[in-house]
Amino acid sequence: MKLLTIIKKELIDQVRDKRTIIAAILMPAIIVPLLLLVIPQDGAGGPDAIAMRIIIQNNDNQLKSLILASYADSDFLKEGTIGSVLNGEADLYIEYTKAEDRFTSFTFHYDSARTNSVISFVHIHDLFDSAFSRLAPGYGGAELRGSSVRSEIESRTLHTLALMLPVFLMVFAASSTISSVIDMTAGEKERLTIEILLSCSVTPMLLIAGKIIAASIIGFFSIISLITGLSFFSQLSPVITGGIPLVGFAGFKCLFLITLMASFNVVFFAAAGMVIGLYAKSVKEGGILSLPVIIAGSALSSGFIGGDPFSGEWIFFLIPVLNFSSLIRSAIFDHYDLLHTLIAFSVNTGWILFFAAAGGYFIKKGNVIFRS
Amino acid sequence: MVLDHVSFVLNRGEAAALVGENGAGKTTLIRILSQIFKPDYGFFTLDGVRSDISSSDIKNKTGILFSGDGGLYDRLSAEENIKYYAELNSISKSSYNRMLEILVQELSLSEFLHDRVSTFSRGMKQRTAIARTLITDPDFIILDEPSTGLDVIAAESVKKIIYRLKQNGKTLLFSSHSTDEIFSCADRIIIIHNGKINCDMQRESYEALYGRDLTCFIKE
Repeated sequence: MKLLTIIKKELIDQVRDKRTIIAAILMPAIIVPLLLLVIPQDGAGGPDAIAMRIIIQNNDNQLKSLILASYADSDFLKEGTIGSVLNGEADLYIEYTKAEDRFTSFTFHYDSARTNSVISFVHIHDLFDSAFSRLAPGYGGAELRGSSVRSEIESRTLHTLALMLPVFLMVFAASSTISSVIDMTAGEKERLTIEILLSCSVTPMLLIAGKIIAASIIGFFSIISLITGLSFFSQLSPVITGGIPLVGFAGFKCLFLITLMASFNVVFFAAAGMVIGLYAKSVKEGGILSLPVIIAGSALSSGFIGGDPFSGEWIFFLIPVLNFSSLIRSAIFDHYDLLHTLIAFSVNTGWILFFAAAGGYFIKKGNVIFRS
Repeated sequence: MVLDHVSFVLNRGEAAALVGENGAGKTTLIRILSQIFKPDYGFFTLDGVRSDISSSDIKNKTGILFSGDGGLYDRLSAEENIKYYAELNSISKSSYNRMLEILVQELSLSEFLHDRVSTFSRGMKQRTAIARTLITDPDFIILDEPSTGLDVIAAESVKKIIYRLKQNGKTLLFSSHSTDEIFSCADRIIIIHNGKINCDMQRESYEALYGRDLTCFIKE
């Protein structure tokens, strides 16, 4: 009975705090659908939603015309090999055989780990199936074959890592960093140590920088810990990463770059969390106020789950978290885009500076620091 | 408006008690003197240095003990708390070591110097907080309700510390609700009410005129 009494009291206490309701119930219910609405998922817009990049053996004009009649946006690459599908330059490579000027077989080389490539394969396969069926006038029956450029195990590993790694990295980056920085700021208020700190011969910007860096270090170790743990356990049981161990699949260079990108997002979360912490009266309030940031961070990191890492739109790189989670996803595919990376770094640096300035403003405002 | 035309002079080596009811403006005044708040207008000077011109010079010469639980980091030891404050105020290692040795002896900190603050009693916390305030060997010391919440023995030791600081020629401003502490430690009594100074008198003169009744200047 006492347990029930305690549970009842705690629930009433929490429910009576409107911010808890907003942050814990309303925000998840609204933010995620809203973000998924704003960020269109590739392939969700119907057959014409993607512009297919296709290589046709010998640049056959008859096949080009056939495809363009149904998919006018299609882009035909004049040169390329099956490897072009693997490195993301093309979505589909069409190989064919002819006998007496008639197509006798088609082989569609596609990347089973990439959405655009799979959709292209499905579209073209269906188109050719109806065009070259036995019943189609003027054509005989042609054999259609699909061939993935990746092995099944490689494809499965890519799917698994591309799906989970950016999301987990961002969730841990956000939660560990923000909770630390909230304790370093709102916690200082709660413990009344903020007065002592502000009375010392230290500039507000130095205090802010120190706290952002300290929280970032904690977030950085959280990232390192996640990647190390995943590397270790996937070595023991590769099934957790889809069949191939993380280090064996991605390699040290890729893991280093992923760590670097996630770390930059850690700094972003530290700066954002610091502003929240400086505003919040207590660690509890800071935790509640930071929930939307953590939820939004998690939602944004999954924004490209259905997307193709080779066809990221530049506008998405203007959105913090979404930009780096997308870059991490691309890195898993061994694809690096310098322009997108520079945009993402610039955008996040801008936000970090903005948050630092906001923190500097808050720390000088007595009515914010000693808000009661 | 929390404070209204507050103006007073503290002489070197003087100990002034800041008296007033809760919400009178004592803490706000202390926060202004600690350079945490900036007044809407006005300034104060310490050894001729204006607060609105060179705040860091004043911060270096001022030691503050805030009210409450001492403002200590629970997860740090007493020494770590003291050292952190000293380092933030750019105290040299030799000065730190010298002052720490003195303070450990005077405040009897040796028994718990390396223990975590979370395990401390209120009195131990207050002694640690006082040590932290004095580690920079400040000329001007502000103590905000230094004995509030302390037991009789701990409060008595705070009184002794104030005496010693006075003997060492330090300038002191302390707020207090304890009549005994005020009349036994202060040279001056400054009474603040509704953000205004209602009384600023030498302790002997005050006592001669009003006895130990501190409420006469707090009435509306």
